[in-house]
Amino acid sequence: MKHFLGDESLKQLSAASVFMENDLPHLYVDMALTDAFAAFAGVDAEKLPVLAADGKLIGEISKTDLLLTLA
Amino acid sequence: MAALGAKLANNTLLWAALIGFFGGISSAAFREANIGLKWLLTGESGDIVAIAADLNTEMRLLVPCLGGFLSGLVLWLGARLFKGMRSQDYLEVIRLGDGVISVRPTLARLLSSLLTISSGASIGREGGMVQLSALVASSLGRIFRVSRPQLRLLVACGGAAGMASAYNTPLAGALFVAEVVMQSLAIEALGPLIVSALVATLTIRHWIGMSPIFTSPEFNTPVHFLLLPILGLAVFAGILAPVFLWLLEQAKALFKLLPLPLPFSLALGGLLVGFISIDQPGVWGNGHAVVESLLNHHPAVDWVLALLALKILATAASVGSGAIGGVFTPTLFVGAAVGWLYCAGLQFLLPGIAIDSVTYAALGMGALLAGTTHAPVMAILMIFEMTLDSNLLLPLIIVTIISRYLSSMIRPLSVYSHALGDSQTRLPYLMHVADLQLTPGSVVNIDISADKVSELFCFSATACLGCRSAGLLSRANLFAGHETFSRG
Repeated sequence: MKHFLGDESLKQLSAASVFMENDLPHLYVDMALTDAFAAFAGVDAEKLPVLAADGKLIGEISKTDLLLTLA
Repeated sequence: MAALGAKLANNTLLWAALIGFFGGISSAAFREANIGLKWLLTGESGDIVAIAADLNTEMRLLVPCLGGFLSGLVLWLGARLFKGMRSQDYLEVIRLGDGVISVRPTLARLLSSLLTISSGASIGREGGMVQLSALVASSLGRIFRVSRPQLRLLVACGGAAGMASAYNTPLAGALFVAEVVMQSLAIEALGPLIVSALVATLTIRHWIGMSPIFTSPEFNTPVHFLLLPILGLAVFAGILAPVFLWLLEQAKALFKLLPLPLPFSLALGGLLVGFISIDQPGVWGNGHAVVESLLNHHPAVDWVLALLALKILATAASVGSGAIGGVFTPTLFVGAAVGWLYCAGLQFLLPGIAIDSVTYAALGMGALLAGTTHAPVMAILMIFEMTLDSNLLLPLIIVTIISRYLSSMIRPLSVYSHALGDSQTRLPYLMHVADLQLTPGSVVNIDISADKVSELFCFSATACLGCRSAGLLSRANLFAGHETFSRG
């Protein structure tokens, strides 16, 4: 991926128009940890974004932290 | 610093290795300090039992008493100087706390522990080593501001490193923390623990070498083991373990009845050990040297019987007086002596029976250890790594499992139950995402360029960015998109 970093064409490209996703796997802040764990099981991601009830991003948690808390 | 911490936090194994290294160094420092203090107090720096044997009666009484007084004084001063600060035990910090160990009160406790073990108290030095290593791990994690679950894991790694470097037992060191403290063998935790313990062992070998801590010419000779005597030993140890723990508890309760300030209580404990040692210098120290003589020197039955009784008394005096240290190595001696005597008893009752006292001493250690700690897997690996005799593995499995379950049936509390907290306050299944410490998310404007976004992802460990009042940009999608985009 470093390969593409200097790519001039990226400067003109609006990130939101190409890469934005509306169905990215995410967690809600009031979710039980066990449900959060189940959400991780379905996706191949080390970290998932945490959204407030109104859909705003408030942070992210890592699978490691979650597992360590549940373990 | 925090940003560097966040980056490194993604690489738990790297952290574990770092903590293993510092844990090994801190254990070596603890060892050296112990040797230096022994020299200051007695003028010799060899094995503590050999020192005791060299001293005359007055000195055998005086040294433990003085050491106890000084270590009590340090504890008392520490409590006054650092009022309101508590020295948290690493067990408690990992299991119930947030991974934070306060530095100054813990150092006071460690100095006190050093003074007691260097003056002959019948208590192990591993307690101090593990605590120091956990303290180092907690401080490192706090400097780099890692997340709370990570900090607890780092302290656990510190504990594993301390245990591994105290006994030269990497696997058992890791398993000790996993089985006793975290009570989980989840690979997320066990992996880092093993890395940490391994690096600690590799570090401390420059001081103590690579050989196992117990050696005997009779190890690694094939044993034709008889099942019935082994089952008998397992039952015997399973009943004795709760009795031993009960005795230690009674000793603590007895000392509490005396309205003595700490320095005098510890001095009294020391004096009692000194008194017992007039007849039997072997009661000084953690018991390592006397296990070695059981394994190597074919002692007489009445010597072992007397030593066992006196050693239990001396350990009860030291532990009861409030001395800081571990009962791990003393437990090993009691187990070894019990196994050895059990074998001698069988040989007396059934002449010609093909059982070997050294094998039974090793099995006794494992059985009693499993009975007091309730951690059979750790006990199996511990005795295996301490003797490196693979012939012992199968009988060890049998005795430890039986002893553990029998012991916990008689007494549900293990030797660490008190430190681990009687009730579980942390119920992970009732917690919510909000209870975890979240890495704060970054929000960007909707018109940001793809170039800027990839830069942001490159310089932070964050997995996604929020687009103001729109949606989410994820690292994975950006780089996957990159590829299709450039190719197309």
